[in-house]
This record gives sequence, C-alpha cells and structure tokens, in this order.
Amino acid sequence: MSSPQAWWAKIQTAGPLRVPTGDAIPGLATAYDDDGAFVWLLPDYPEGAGHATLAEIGSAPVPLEHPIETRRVMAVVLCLCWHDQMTGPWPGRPVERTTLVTAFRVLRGHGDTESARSIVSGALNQLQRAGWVLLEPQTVRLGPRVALWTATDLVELREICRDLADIRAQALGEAAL
Amino acid sequence: MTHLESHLAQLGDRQRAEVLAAFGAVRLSADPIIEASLPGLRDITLRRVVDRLLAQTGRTLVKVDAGRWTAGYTDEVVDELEAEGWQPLPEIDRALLVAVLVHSVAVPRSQGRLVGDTWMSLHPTSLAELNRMLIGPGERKAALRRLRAAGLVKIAAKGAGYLPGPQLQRLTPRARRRLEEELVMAAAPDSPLAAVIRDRRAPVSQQGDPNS
Repeated sequence: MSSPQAWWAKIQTAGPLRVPTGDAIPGLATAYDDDGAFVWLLPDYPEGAGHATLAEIGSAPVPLEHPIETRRVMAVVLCLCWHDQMTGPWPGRPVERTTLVTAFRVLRGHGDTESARSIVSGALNQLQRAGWVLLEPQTVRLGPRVALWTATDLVELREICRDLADIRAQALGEAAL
Repeated sequence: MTHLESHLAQLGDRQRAEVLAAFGAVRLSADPIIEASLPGLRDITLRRVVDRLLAQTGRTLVKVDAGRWTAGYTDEVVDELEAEGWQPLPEIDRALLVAVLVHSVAVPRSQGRLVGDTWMSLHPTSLAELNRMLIGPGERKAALRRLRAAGLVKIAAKGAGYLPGPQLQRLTPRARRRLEEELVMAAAPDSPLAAVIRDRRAPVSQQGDPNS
C-alpha cells in the first residue's frame, strides 16, 4: 500500500485517479463517481495556494497550447454538461462530441467544421490530462477536478454559462434534429 | 478544512498567506522562483514551514542555484514509486525525452560545452535527430505534444529543435546524479564508468564480484 505522500505524487503526475470507494486515502480530496462504487482521488490545497501569486511576481505555469481555444472548449463543455446549475457541476451529464463541436463552432461564429473538430480534439486531450474532462469515444463529460470548485468559483462559472445559454440551446437543438 | 491546513494552525494570518503564496508558487511555476520575491522563501523560518507542507504532498524544496527555488519529489517518494513500478509516461514519450537529454545535455557535457550537473541546456536536439528514431511521425508528434504540455521538453528558439523543459529543474541532487548514471549505462554500458556505477548499485554481497 502506497504512503499518502506517494498517492499525492501519483495524482500530481498522472492526474486524478479512480479507485474503489473503500480505498480512499486520508488527506486527499475525493469526488464520488455517479455509481458510488468508485471515488476519484484529488489534490486538496488550501485556499491561497493557487495561481494568484504567480502573476504578482511575473512568473507563469507551463503554458497551455492554444490557451484561448482550450479555455473556450472548457467553457462549452461546462455549459453543456452542467445540467442543474442549482447544484454543483460534478458529475454532470455526458455530451455528444458532435454537439460539442457544434457549440464550439457557434461560439467562434461558425466557420469550418473540420477545423473546429481538430481544435476541439486537441483541447480535449489537454483538458483530459489535467482531469478537467473525461473522454469516451463518442461522448465527453466533466472531469472530477470540477468537484473542487468553491462556491465563489461557481458564482462566476454560472455567469459564464448564462452568457453561453443561447449557444447551448442552439447546439442541443441542432443535435436533436 | 484541508489536511494541509493543520500544518498552518500556528501561524498568524499574514504568515499563513506568505507561506501559502510560496507553497503555491514553487509548485505551479514552470521556472524556479527568486527567493527575494516572496517572504515565504526569503524568511528561513517560513521556508521551513513551506518545506513541511510540501513534504505532506511528497515534495521538497529544491535549490536550483543561488537564490532560486522550486519543488521536486522527495528521494523517498521516488524510491517508493519506483519499487511499485509507477510510470505515468508512455514508453514513446520516455524514448523521446531520453533522446533530447542525450543530445542536448549528455553529449555537450561530455564535450565540455556544458558544465555542472544541470539538465537544462541551450544545445537543441534537432528534429532530424528525433526523426531518425523508429517512431511513426503521428506517434512522435503526439508524444512531443504531451512532453511539451508536461514541461519536460520545450521548443528551441527559431524552431531549431527541442530542449529539455523547465520541469527538469525540479530534480533533487540525487535524482540529477541518478539520471546521469542511467544515461551513462544506456549510452556506454561497457565503459569503465558504467562498471563503477553498476558496482556501486549492486548489493554489498555482490560488489567487486567480476561475475555479477
């Protein structure tokens, strides 16, 4: 059995890990998966230990590739998968990849579908490695890291989803046709 | 309250904020943090608390050079993960990373063009060098993208190839030494230096045994 420190190292190097619920590790945050039999192990940092300081001292994390498009894709995934915004976003509902590409195209003001599909695919791979989304062959859902968003974070994120409400409706409507 | 909060209980509000700022910075910043830029690193007492927090998460403060700090995994945690066979990087990614380390660091160091035990370098590994490896172009491209995203390699200026990424600065002194030994044994397994390394690593009962 690994030490708690080794579990920390594992989730920091490989992203959130899914283990049977009975194997939860003291000191790590958890997000129960929707069947309740499994739990995602997540890093649990105190408030104030985040990215805010980096900007103040002119430092930066390892850069995202295509950061603007990747953040847009995350915003679209959030707003499509977070079906009940009276509660938290985890675990949310899966969304078809085609619906996601449609929503992303609308957000960018339409444009080439193949290019949108390629950007979405690259962004999803980056987001999956960090635990922000979970990918299935045909569908995408929110990753367990969203379970750690605070009430303050959710206020801002609900605002983003309100701004994207039309795009959400349009994408889900188009997909339903 | 998170598990880590209990290690901050003795601190006042200001010291707590300074410790958490330094803890977050050394953990998240791609490059090392200048000690003078944060009270949590500048003040030796607060720096010890930062190190204690990092220890709870399997890491330790690593001094990169005079006055710059980052965080890396402790040697104990590395030993534990190694014993378990933990390996988050796919084999192709590791092969490409090793190629970059050999061409950008090990070769220049052996030629005296790079001094010290750093794994950072200004000598790019050319794309032609990486293209020579028996890895398909699609797999190679995907692996290099993953390595870039992880900060393990970076693109050299003017597209001249790849360099070791900023995460290599997180290696502890022992990890830096072990990496160098691994490359010696991989690149020149029959060399006298490789024999010395093997002998040093062998169990005491086998040391000096010519048949081992």
